Amino acid sequence: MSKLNYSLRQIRFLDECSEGKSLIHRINPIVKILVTLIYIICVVSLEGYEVNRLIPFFLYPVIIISLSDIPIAPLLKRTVISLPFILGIGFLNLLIERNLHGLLIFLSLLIKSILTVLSSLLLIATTGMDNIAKGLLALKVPKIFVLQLMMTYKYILIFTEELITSVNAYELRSSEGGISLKFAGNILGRFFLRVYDRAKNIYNSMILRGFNGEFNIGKKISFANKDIIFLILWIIYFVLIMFFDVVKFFELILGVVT
Amino acid sequence: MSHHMIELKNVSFKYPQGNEVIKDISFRITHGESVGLIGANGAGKSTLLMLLSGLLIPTNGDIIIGETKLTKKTLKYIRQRIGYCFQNPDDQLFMNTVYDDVAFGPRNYGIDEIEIEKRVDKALERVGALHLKNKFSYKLSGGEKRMVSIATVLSMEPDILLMDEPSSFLDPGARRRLINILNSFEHTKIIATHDLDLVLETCKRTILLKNGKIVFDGNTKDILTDKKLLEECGLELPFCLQTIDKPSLMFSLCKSPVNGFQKGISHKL
Repeated sequence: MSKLNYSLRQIRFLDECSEGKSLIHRINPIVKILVTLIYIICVVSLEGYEVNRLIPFFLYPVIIISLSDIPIAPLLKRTVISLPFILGIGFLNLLIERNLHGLLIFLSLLIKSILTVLSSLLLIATTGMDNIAKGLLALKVPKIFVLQLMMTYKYILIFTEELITSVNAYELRSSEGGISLKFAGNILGRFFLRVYDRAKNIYNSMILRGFNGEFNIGKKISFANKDIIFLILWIIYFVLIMFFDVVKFFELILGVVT
Repeated sequence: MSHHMIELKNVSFKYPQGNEVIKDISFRITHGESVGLIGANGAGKSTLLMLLSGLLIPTNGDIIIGETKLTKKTLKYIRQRIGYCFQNPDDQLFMNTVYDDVAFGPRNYGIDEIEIEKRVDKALERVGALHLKNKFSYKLSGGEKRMVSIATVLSMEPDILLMDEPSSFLDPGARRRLINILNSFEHTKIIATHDLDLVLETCKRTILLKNGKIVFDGNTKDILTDKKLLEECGLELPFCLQTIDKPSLMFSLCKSPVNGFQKGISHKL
């Protein structure tokens, strides 16, 4: 199977995960969005050099992964994809600040990006894009943004399918591996035309079924006790680790004990 | 008043900066009729279906669905009455699960979720795909996708079905199931296809298009046994009639286009 075909099979991984029935999957999407948002805000608002204070934040993804039965390896692989950009920025900073402080900032940036990307992926994998959209609408996010998000997500999948068709057609008639630069422009041009046609057909099929710019997604969201408990417990934990240096606290306790 | 009636009065259509692809077409299809729309590539079949669904607006002439003239103002109402099945079922399946795809139309019309669930079950059951309800749409086979794409339209409970190449992407078994399903529908149907055997088995009336004009409008038996006219229009006899010396005689052996052909063929064999 070509790498691209393999990628397409993998691109649906998050959608497939979102159909799980675990405790985390059953938590209200609004609550999960809020918890993820608070988590990300807390992580990014720590000072650049406070690497040790980031450690307690690992508990959140660890607990969510273990309770939601989501395979960890593919999730980490997707998290790593975002790292080259962060590493690039970190290295640039290291060039400016060639000391321990610069190294700490680099490490902090790395950990922060892993945590935030991982938590976002976990939100999608345990909630699904449709439910996230429903949650965002309930949180009064403007419809136009939610629609854009939904459409972009759905069209990425469709575009990938079309890209695979174009690349497969090329590779079947090409003796070389990969796409030659000479033909890349043609393939890209054809690909955009195909994608345009496909997008037009899908839009037509949507408007023929009454689509008028509003994305109507199923049943209304209901709250249960477990949702409130989930929200409160995580907020308490985030506040705790934001305002108290838990690592230092444990170090002190360990020091007293030993 | 019948919502199931379709009438075209001198309809013409021209793409911007293009040739006239539909030229002065008029016909009337009454309640419950099943009409085959045939013609060579580029004859105007898909354009005509798009005109009927309001995806394109005629440059001349009137389209009347039920008692309502198709205009920009009446589009919403007319589209509720018409179910359009695309040639490629993937164009109709863009949600994650089969349930969400079938529920997409009714949800847009503000129907409550309990009623939607009933409609989804009913539509999927009708096409024999209820077992696929909670599956991922993109994991379905070609035949399953076709059945689900028909269900996405049926869940809107339309009066009229427009189908563009419904037998494309199907294996013989799935095609046979499709024919049986189409024959069980009481809707007014227009089936645009190159699969003349399918037309033979599902439509009593056929419209033959050539270069955007109607060349023939009448009994399926008369047109699909007229080898000369079919060949003039870039078509050929249906496969089941190709080995028979006198197709019209063969047709007369059949009591109905649906079951009769199978009987006729088995008799011949």
